[in-house]
Amino acid sequence: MDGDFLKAALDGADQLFSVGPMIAFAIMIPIALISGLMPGGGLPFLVVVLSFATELDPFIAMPMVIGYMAANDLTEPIPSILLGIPGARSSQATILDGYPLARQGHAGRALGAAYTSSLIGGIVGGLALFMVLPFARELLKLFGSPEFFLLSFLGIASVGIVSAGAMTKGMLTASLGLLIGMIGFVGVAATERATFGIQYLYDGIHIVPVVVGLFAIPEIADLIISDKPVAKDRLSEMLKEGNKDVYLGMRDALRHKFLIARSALIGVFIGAMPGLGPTPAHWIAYAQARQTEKGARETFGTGDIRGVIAPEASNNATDGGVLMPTVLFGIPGSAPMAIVLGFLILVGITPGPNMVNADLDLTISLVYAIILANIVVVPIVLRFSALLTKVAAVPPRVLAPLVIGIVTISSFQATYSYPDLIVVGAFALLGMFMKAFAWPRPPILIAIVLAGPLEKYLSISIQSRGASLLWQPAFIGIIIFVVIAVWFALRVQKGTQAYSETVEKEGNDE
Amino acid sequence: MSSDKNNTNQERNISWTSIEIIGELILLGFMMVLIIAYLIELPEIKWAGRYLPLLAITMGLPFWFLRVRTVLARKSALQQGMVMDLGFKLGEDPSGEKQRAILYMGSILGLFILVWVIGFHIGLPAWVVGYLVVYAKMKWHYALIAGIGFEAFIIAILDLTIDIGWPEPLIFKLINIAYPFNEMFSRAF
Repeated sequence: MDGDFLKAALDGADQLFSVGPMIAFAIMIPIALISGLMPGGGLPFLVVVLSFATELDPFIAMPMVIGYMAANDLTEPIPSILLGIPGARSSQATILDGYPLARQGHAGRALGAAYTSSLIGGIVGGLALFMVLPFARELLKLFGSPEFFLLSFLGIASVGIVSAGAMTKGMLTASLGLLIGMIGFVGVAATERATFGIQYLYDGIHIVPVVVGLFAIPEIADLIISDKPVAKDRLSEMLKEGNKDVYLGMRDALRHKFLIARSALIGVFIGAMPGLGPTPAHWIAYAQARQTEKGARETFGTGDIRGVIAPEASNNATDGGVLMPTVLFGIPGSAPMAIVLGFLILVGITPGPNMVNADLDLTISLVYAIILANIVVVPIVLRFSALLTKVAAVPPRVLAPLVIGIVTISSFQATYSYPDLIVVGAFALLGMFMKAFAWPRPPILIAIVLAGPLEKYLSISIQSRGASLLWQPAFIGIIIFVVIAVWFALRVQKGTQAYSETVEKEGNDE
Repeated sequence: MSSDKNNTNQERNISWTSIEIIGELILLGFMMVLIIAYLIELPEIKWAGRYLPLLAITMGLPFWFLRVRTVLARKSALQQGMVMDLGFKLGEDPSGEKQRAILYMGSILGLFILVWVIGFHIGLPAWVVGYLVVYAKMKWHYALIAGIGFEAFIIAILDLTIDIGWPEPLIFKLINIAYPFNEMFSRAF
């Protein structure tokens, strides 16, 4: 570790542990906990947080956003264990053993184990990001505009390709995202493109209304359309048991430290792959625990505490993993990371070499933010999880207008003009259609976010190196790396999907 | 629509008038309009501005034709693409779900129109109160508290903290009166 790195590590701590970021953190934690528990609340509120965070100093805004995401993730086991409904797709495996444990009267024990393993997983994820940074500094010295162009382009293409057996749809939406992302004034050619003479389009399509339309409004629609309130009788029963034997669960988790370590490393590694994220990671962790732990084949699915520990440790460790490609190479591996990347660009921070050089202190402060969020939030959720569950039971038709109102306000933050609402409406229709008919939405968002940097890198590359850029060693190396990563991601995804379907089917049969 | 119960990798013929086919045709049509717009404009743009559109079109066009072929064959494979997405969680009440979907989209359209006509300060809290009373069957005084909460949020964050210059709502333009909320509050921090 060189002197610059150490100085940045101290500066990052100094910046994060000052009054402004701490106040922002204190405001953010309850919002993250409540929105994480609101059915469909996590992503819409992330958009709201980001839209207002653009008004803040990056040193306050970025740790706040990353802290929000980490705290938000920590709410996922609550509905999974107490109510048997997944708080998010990345906590589905937790239900398999967590909910049976709760039904057997061990809800508090399951929550204690889930949070202890989440805490350790989150810290491992943060430390993994920290440890990668010195190597990334050296690696990124080899990269110029051609390599960054290739990374961004292959990043978009790989997220399209790994769209779960729907390569045509994925690549099509990635191309559409690029076409939309290129609308407006283009700096490298000093002219406008595809604006159709509409003044509003001159500055391009703003990311916030796109995200609100594409993700937030369809998620709220899911609430309204299904309109399924949580049964009150089950809730009150679980509220009584949610605080019992929590410490027993914590002890269970600490007894399985090697399982936590293995699962957390799986989370970090899978999280760093483009297009994978926490969902496959937590299933793989569950599967490896079932295969390797003694007697697990017989007891998993019936209320085995190890079936809670493995997915939760892995799930939380992905937080550090997904940040690696996002901040270091500008390749967001998932929709929330694409939103974060868009936000970074919006506040004037360029992902890539700057993040490990000029902005290294900011990057390190994100590591601290992940660890801090885990350390602060875990005791809160351990103590109040049963009480917090009440949020999950608010009827959707009461919740929906409040969330819609807030996301509408945040979408107006783009240009403070009414056409922002038209953009929201258009993307909401697109998002509802895509969600209903299984069109993957992340590629379109990632492409819109990356269109600007991609064009800049491509233009510089062609002007500086011409056709010779095609046989630069780093260029060829990246192509080989991405091809292997996509092949690996496709295999992981296929395996995970088949495994999760088998396990769920077995559960249903029983 | 995709749901847990029909989450199988089946391919089936679907009707020309289904939302899926019409939606796909609109989506593919919109994409082609964009491609044509770029192709028409490109010759007049400097080379630096042509590379990425050409790359995006080259990447997308083969998949566009593949998808058009699938749509024209009226084939649908619903599960594809679901790993990165969740789809809608549907139950056993298709007509009720359809009704709620229409109501939801209508209410959002209503909100946007209301905000455009009378502005955020009046339109948004009024919509929240109306939705809670009419659709959520909430007691009017609770709904009013939610509406006042929204008004306070708009004033505290958007007026006093960010100090937005609000665009003139339609009704204020028509009666030729300046939007009063632009002058009423200014940045407090």
